[in-house]
Amino acid sequence: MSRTAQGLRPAQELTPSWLLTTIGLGATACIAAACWTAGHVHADASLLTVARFLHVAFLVVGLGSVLAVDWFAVLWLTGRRPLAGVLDTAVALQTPIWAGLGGLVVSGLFLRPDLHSPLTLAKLGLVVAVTLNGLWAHRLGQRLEAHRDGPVPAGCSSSRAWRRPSARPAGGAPPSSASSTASPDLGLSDVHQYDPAMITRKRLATGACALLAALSVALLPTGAAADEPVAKESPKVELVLDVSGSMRAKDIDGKSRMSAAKQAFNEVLDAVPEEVRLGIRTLGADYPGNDRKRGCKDTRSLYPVGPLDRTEAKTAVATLAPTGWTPIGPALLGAADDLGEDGASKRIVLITDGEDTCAPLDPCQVAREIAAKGIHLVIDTLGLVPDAKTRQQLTCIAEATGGTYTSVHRTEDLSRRVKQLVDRAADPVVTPVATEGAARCEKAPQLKPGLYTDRESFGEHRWYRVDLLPGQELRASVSVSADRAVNEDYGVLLRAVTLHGREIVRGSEAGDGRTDVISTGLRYPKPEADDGPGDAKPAAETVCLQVSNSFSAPPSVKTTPGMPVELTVDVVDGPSSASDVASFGLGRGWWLLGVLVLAGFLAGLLWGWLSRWRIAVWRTN
Amino acid sequence: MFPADTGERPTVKAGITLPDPSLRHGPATWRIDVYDGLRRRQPCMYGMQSRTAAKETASIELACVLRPVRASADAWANDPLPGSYYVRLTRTGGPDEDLGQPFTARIGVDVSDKGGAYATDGALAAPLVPGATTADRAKADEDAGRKTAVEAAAPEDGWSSGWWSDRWVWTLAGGVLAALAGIGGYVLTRGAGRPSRVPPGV
Repeated sequence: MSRTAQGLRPAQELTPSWLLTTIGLGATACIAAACWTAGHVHADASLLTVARFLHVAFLVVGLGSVLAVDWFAVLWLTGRRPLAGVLDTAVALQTPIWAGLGGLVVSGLFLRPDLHSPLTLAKLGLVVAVTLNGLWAHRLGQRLEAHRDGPVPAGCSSSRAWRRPSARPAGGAPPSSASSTASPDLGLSDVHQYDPAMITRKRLATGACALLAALSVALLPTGAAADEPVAKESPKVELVLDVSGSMRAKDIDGKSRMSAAKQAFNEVLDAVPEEVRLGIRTLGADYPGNDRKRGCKDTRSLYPVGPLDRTEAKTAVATLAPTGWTPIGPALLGAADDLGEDGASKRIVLITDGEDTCAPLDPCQVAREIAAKGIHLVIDTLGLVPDAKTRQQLTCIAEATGGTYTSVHRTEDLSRRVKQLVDRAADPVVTPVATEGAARCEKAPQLKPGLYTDRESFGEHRWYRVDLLPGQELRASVSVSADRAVNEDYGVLLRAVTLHGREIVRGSEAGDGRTDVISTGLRYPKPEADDGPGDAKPAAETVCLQVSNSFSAPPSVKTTPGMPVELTVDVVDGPSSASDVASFGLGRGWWLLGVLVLAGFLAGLLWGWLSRWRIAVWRTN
Repeated sequence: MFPADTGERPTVKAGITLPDPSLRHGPATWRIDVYDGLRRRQPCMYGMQSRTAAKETASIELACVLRPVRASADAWANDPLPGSYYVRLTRTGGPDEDLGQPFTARIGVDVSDKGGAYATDGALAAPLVPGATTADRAKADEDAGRKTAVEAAAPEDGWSSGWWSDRWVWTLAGGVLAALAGIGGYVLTRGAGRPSRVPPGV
């Protein structure tokens, strides 16, 4: 018999191509279904960690097995192992390879993949490619089986000739160098026709790429989808600039206050965000004379509140020159009018260098009245090189409306601060709904979940009502702001009370020292209703919320209008009930371990004695 | 604002660079407070919550270590629950002439996992996030494509469901060791047992 015939085994039945194609399509469909399912699975953080760990573990198992087979193939190509060894290893490692792929797909279900990222899609494509490659490689393995007992490619005897397979394409020529065992018989050239080296290397390369990509994608952070801003009215800001005679003083960076303000305004107008509607108002810009009454009405709108045209606004600002009086109060009223009454968030930024010259209209009182109107207007003040009286007035204005006060000594501070305030105005905020609590629960307003604002004077109690179904939880929190000078000790109390006056739960907070706000909250989980007669819909319970405060102030401080109160009401589903202090009633600690081991040991001893006694009894009978 | 999840122990740190000493007129007291999602003030276990900076001090550091967050608590308790936490930095004392001066502050939160010892039974249906709604409303929001308040305030990996704690490991290990100890005890006292030369049935 020729050597060829000895080398060849009878040709095995190869898996038909149509079957492989069907399995391949089925596998692709499975992976696609897994991707789709993964988008709908909500894994929490602990499950995500476990899934990631398993994903990497299966990756290691699958990739490791593939690399092991490929290493054996390399050993065969370099002549150190017979083909039979490679094929046996390949068959043995089939299980870990496919188990690794399966586990990779299953654990990937919980990884919350970002299916819009190109990297994820590339990784998934590579996984599919590797799967299909694996199916066809299976077939290659079956073909190689036919040459299982073929000669080792030149390895053992000649060390030179083995270089042959690594570079030659399919249909290689017989070796040139003489070699006793590596005979160019049909068996070997048959093997070269398939050139397993190239296919193996290709498989190795694809497999490595795909699985490395899989590893990198598994570690990619989940991309957060950008959330859509809720469409609402765009915010409005009015800059009120002092153009009075005192702005001529040259004490900001060596320039006059007016030029510093102009420079700051230019920078601010360049940086106004798109959605902010800006307006500019001046005070003391027109009347240089001595008639106080006329001087105190000298405030006008320089640029109306609306979408900003930067060049127009800049030219308008450039024309200003320090002129007249400082009517801060009328300017604030004018600015409040400019801003209008719609639902957008409104801010006034007041930039001034001196105190108001138009008593008896106290600007602080004006600010308090503006705030009390409930139109949610915030006034931020900036004092340019302020003295003590200016500072007191400006801090009072800011406190009254919940705004900020800044003292400015440098141009860059001014522009930076105004830019910051304008940017802050552009932040999305929830506008509270004005409500008015009653003195008794029966007359109290019914509140739905949301954010509310009210006013409460010292020592007053305000009541509100919320409906709560069984199995729901009421969450309420309240903040009381100190917008005027108050004494050092204060507190707030929020109580949830039934209609009959039984207190359910309370939240309280007390403080000492300087503060601008004090807050507290409460939680009331209403238990599920026991199923009453029939299928009657459970009745909602009315919970009365009482807000009371213990602020006090020296006699000189006005008590009306009351202090601003902000109330949030949320209704969520009730919590799952706890039957134990510890999670699931489980135990922890060395004492537990010790007690369990001791108990087990004693039980074992007892059982041993029992069985010994039974044997003894059996023996005596 | 930062989210805190079950089993975490947040540490809030604030570094404040005070305004120029030439502009200041006296010592100033600064403090940080942490409030939970219900606006209740949370006590600090460790850390200097409040410090007084002398006129010449350029910067101060404040810290507050909160209690570990647990999954559920009584309605009457102030225990920290998973949800959003708010940090408030205020200057509580200082000369009035220093009002309105610019300063910079860096606020950061470190979180360490304190797991099993504080794992409680039961869980809230929704974390303490202002604006949380019932499950039906949340689903309606989700269908409409809007992000619910709870999701918007969630930490990176989402809110944990809280079923895992290291108590499982302790209990299972205890069970396994008890079984092994039982086998050991049995082996000690069982004696020779049935002699093998006796045929069955006798």
